[in-house]
Amino acid sequence: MPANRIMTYSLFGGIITGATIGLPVLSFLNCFCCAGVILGGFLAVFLAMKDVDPASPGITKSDALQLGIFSGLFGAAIGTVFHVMILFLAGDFFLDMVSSFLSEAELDDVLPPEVMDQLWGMLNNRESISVFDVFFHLFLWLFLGPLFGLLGGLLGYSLLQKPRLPMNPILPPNP
Amino acid sequence: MVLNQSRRLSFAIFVGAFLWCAGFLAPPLLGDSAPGASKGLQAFYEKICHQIEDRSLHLNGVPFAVCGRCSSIYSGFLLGAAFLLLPGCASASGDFRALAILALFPMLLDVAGGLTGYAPPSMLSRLFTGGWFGFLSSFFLVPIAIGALEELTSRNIRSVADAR
Repeated sequence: MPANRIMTYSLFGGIITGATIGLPVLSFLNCFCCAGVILGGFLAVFLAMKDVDPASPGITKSDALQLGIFSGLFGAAIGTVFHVMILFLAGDFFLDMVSSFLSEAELDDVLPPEVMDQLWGMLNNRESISVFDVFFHLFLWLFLGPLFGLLGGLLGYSLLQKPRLPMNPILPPNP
Repeated sequence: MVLNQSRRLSFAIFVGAFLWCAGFLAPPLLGDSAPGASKGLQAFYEKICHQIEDRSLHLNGVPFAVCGRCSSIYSGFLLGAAFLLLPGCASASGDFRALAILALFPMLLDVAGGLTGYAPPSMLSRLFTGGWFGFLSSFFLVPIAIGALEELTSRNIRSVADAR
């Protein structure tokens, strides 16, 4: 697969990854073995496979690996931008919105009490943003993003790749 | 002893998985001897796991840095990666879909049981289904990763040769 197409699909996967890294409610997805980042890598492979010519041999293992890694890298950058934007633009307003949603939605019946405690703890222990926090966030995700993104890419390859049919052998002409 | 490329890659993946598992096991093992490192590791793994104490395994009264399900997934993967160090195992190829579904299905069923409330998962079910997924997933993820890395290496060698 050409490099520019790998980058395009990785960017789509990276947007999903970035949303799950940087946006407050969606980021809970990553509390389950980085499911959001894995989803981004998986999605990049899914989109690449959908767009591939049926007559062509499809995507290769190395394409899937690259799609996963780059979606994680894009996701780390996009996620950090989302993270900073949310804190700068909405800041306390957004977190207050999440707090009021948690108190009004009567989630006590749906979520286990320990999960609710954890959510409230995270909302109450919020700290102001610093340049160090932003760089720490970015570097951490520049490591975790490609790692779990490539797992998503490989998982996508193993689940979605159709078994290849054997090529028709070229028979010699009849004497 | 000279290892071929696929066995070297398989060994590298095993070492990576071992370090990853050592990282989440370290906080209870470090105890009070290195509180800074212990806290740092907890903060690192916090990004990828909810770390709810009731759902985590404990050692000496201190929880691991990831929950029970995550611990069993990573440990299962490590065990599988160790099996794949045996000669000829890591270069397996073919259709991995059946294996991937077989690996994922019990864990998804366990998670769905908890979300719907029909069958709330116990610690044992979390450990078993997570470990099953981790162990089986290594048998398709490691060979695919090795195949992918070998493809990339050979492609790079070819492009360097073409450039000359």
